[in-house]
Amino acid sequence: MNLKPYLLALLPALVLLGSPAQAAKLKPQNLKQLISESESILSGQVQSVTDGISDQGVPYTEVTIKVNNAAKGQHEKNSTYTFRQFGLTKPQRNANGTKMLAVSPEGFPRWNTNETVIVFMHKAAKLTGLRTTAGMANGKFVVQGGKVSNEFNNFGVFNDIEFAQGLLSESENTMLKTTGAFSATDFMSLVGKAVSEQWISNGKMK
Amino acid sequence: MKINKFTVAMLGMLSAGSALAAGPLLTSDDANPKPYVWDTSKGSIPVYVDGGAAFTYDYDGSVFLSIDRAREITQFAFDQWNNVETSTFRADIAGTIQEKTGIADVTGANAAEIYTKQNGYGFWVLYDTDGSILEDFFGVPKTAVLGIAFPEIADENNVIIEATAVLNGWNVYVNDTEGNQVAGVFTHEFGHAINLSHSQTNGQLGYLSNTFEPLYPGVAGCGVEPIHAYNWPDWYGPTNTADPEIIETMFPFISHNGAGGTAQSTVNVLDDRVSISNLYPTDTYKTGFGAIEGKLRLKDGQTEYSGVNIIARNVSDPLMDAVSAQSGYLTQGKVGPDGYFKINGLTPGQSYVLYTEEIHVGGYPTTQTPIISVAEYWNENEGSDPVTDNQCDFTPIVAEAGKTKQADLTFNGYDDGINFRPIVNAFLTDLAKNGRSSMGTIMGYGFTWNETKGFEMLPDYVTAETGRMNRNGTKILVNADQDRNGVSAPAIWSDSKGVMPLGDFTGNACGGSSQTGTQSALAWDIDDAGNTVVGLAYKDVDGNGMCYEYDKGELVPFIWTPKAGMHELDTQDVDWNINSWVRAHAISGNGEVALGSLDGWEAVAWVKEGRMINLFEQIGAIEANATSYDGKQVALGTMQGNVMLWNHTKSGAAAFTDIGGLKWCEDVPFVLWGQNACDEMGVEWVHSMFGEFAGLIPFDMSDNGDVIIGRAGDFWAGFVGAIYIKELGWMTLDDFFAKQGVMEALNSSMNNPLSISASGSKMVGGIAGAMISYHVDMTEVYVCENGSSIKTGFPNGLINKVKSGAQFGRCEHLN
Repeated sequence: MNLKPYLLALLPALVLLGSPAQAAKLKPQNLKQLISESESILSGQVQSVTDGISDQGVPYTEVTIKVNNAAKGQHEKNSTYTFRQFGLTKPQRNANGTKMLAVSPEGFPRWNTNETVIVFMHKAAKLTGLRTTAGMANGKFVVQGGKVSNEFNNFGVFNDIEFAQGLLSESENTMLKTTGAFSATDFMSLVGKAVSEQWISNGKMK
Repeated sequence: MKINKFTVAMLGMLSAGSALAAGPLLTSDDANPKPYVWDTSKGSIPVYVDGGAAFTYDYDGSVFLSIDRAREITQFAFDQWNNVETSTFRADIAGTIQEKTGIADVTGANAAEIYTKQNGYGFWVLYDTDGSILEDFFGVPKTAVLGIAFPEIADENNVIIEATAVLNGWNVYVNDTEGNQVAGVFTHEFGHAINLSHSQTNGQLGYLSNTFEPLYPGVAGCGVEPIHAYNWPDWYGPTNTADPEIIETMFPFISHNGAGGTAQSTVNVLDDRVSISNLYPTDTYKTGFGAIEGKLRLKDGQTEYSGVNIIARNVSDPLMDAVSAQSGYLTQGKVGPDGYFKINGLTPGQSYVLYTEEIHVGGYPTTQTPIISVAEYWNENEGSDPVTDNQCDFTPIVAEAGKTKQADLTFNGYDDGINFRPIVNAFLTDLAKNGRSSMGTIMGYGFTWNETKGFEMLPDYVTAETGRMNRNGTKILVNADQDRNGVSAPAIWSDSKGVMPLGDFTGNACGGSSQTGTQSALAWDIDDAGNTVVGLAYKDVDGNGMCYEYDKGELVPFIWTPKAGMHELDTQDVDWNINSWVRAHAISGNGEVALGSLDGWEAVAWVKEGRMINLFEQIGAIEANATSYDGKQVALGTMQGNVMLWNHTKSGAAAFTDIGGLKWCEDVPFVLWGQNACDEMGVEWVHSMFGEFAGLIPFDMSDNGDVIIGRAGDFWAGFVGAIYIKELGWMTLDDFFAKQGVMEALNSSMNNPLSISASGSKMVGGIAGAMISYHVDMTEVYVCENGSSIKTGFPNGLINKVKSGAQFGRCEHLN
């Protein structure tokens, strides 16, 4: 059928959202924030995902990652890194017959056994020991087919970041303009250098 | 005041799981999942609010937004949902948390009092003034999280009786002097507490669309103008910027420093009104509006496909009168691929276009999946033929009150050549050698699948993580807790006989534990006839009641036959002082050669139940899984990374044939933090440091060994699927599919091929760690011969063509 009536109907609904400056800040968490908020940055394969309720009564999902390497924090190759994040993997029946629905809330990363990941781990909660990735699901990247992507399709990872001139390779510069999955090579290369050469503290990445 | 540095933060932290545009966040965990809901027949649901000195402070310590203002915003936000005329839902502030619990101000220090107890019927709303609840209890950064809400307790009838929400007071912008912007966070979070999931109708246009990567309120490329989040960069030409009022409240993002936050504080977009009305419908809603339902299927016209957004837009009011639903939203991936969607609440007499769209940002209960082939409109000639079913052709659907119109959608694609079929929300683990049946797990539950019957779930007391099928798929090897004593044991399951236990060595009393419970033995493989089974069994060697102690010979390989029952395979050469376990995990089709592992590092084998052969000691083999039907060809993964074929009828060096593998840098990149070692150090350096071959593990082979599948690489490469074809050698699966012109596989990177049919022409596998599998029919493949693409059979036709000089692949895809 003819498209025109459908297209014309769209036009009246368009109004300016706001100033360009406001709009340009539309982002969840960028890489600088992820690195800064991380206690550990490590890569590896998810070995197990279980859930339960702690002695304190807190529902949790426990994740164990077999470490391949770490860009931040002391983690030996082939060691295991285990943490608990808030929430169950699925509802559980309580002793009194009711159901506990407190599964990991939206925005927390989801974990699958065997997936290969790069994680930016936030510090643990002082009172519960719970922890998860910095920037929540923003800080968990899955490696598939040589590419990495977080749950938000890498939206905003390089927004509002400036790198010192000449710091990045050509392919890394190209990655900054990429939408969707990044090359695993370029992403890990950039993260590795940013951490080891302290780009944030010395102002090369701001 | 406390500000946040970030303009837009995720509204995510909302509850668990989430789901469709217009859909439930959580559903019951049974074969016919139903959304958890509040009982609105009891009248208004009580809301209990937090106290404290302020909701947020200014920089100088003065109150920026008071607790009273926070309460006003709370009631305002609930009123947005209360005022949806087609919904019966209502909730109102009934008191304070202090009145109910004695806690005057919930902070990180006492948050456990709320989250580890049942506090009572209603919504419990916490004002996290300093972000300490988020940081000190949840362990999440207050800079990134605006709020967390979820239904917390349901009764035995799946009725929600308690829900919580925490609102981040620290994360309020300085320009939000009245709290009207952060109000969007309140309304969104309470939506989750009501059990609404995320949705994507217009939010992607309002937040994600830009001039160099535009998004459309329709199918891209079909004449619809894009709408942009903002007018930047303007050198790309004129832009249509979005009115924030079009953004649905339940979109995953919010701009709480500006108009987006204010816009999302109201429930003005039809998608949100439909969402709550679906869970809490009035009688008028049930009868006074139109609906569209259908299923999304792959190009085969049968296999359903979950996780794609389906949107209906009114052709006369496409932005404000639009409703979305995710395919499979009601089952949320719990029972397998589900392409069903239903879009309610459509205005009678109005015309709607229906189309497919990928979910752009996460946070939906059914994992978002990529569109196979192309996005398209539904039209009256809907089908899979790209020629007759143009993606841009659409047929408007006129809504009628009280009626549901049918509109099934089918992905387009060509039928000839390799058929690459994704099976979402499923983990296929084995393909019967006849190539017609397969099995696997969905959310931990076992299932079988074939092209004609579709999915059939196995009994819930059966686990199938390591399950296998016999040659024709009639006997399925599982573990079963038949007596429901909490200890499972190997069993054979069949349609006709149900579960047949195979026994164990512990009297079904104890064993090892796993995510699926305790097992006295674990079944790993079954031969073609279904008469020989191998696996790992537990023993209580020292009689101390524990059956899983390492270094005592308590974890041993078993073999089972109908005549001899379950008995141990030979381990007389194993030094249990230094070794922990031995298992048998594969068996040849004729049942004569069993393969296994010693401590997960040394490959071992048994021929006709003879003495254990240590293939690690002989050739450095670390993996043995793939064997020909007669067991005379076994593909071994080695320490060197290449693959060795082993023939047990020969001895010495003559028993082994090197068939190579995939190579670092040539086939698999070698990446370290901070560098691509192949580029920066050179191929020779990588090969000298890490070896030439990229650690290929063969998983399965055809009856005669002409086709072998496996996986190469490591973490850095993200793993690469591999296939070996006699006369061609090894190639990556990406290369295999690309040269065959399998467009559907271009973005899939099937890196975990697990099982192959007897002829080698059919294969199942998936992506390591992802809940998606692929069933691949390679019966027809192409070669390039004298400049023409010629179709031939696989593997024999292909092998013969290559022998005579043809190139593998379609001519037009060779480069």
